[in-house]
Amino acid sequence: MTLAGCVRFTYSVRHAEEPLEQTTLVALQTGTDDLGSCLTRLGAPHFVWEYHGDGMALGWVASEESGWGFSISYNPFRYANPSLSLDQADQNLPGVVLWFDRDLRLTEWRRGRMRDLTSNLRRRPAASDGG
Amino acid sequence: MSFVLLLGACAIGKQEVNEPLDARAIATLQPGVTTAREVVDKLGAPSEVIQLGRRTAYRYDASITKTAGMLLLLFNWVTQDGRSDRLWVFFDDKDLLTHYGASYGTHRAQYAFPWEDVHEASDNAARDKDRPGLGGK
Repeated sequence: MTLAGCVRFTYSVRHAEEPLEQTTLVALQTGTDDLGSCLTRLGAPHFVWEYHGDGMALGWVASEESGWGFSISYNPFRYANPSLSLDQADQNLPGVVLWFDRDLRLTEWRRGRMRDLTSNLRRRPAASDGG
Repeated sequence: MSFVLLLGACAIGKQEVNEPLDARAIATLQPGVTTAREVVDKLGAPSEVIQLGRRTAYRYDASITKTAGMLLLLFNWVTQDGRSDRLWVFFDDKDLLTHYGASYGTHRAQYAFPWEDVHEASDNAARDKDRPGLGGK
């Protein structure tokens, strides 16, 4: 009984966001689709970055994770931390990034880990116009 | 009796960030017509404003994470389901709306068992039907 009080096995499942449909992604046509058609098909992205001046890149993430954990000295909050944090674009989440040129025409899209996809992208706050 | 004892081992939690977005207000946005000032009047202050060359973009978002678990002597399970509402609005250098994209997911977050599929299309459709601006009034 004492052992049961401090040794526990936990099976945890974590769903974050809805995965984009593969059929929707493969239907995207570089050089033809533009920002408007991509937003209509895929909805709002999680992230937007500046890309080559007037171009931009949009990123979507979704995650499905599950696994067993083992703990000695039990703390339920270690497993039940109820926060969903997608604020950091450099998280190692799986996702999709679309790149648009200055005319907002789709030039490329790729799936992968966000950390790899976004290594050359940046974002900056809008300049204040004082008004 | 054992069922009552098991109930004592159940746990649920819910975390909300921001108010869910108003789909009816968002549907009134008109690219080429609506200005940045009008967007802010309708939707309030954005969560983020970023510069994209000559353009700017505003982000609005909200999220809900639901957690369900069973805490037993030697074995626990915990399931989390997190979804968000997102809106990005894009403006030209004259602060005129050129594009926007919206996604609504907060109402789809579920308290789920570990083996449950939380992305069933029929389930999503049923939940969409009850959300104002999507299928509800």
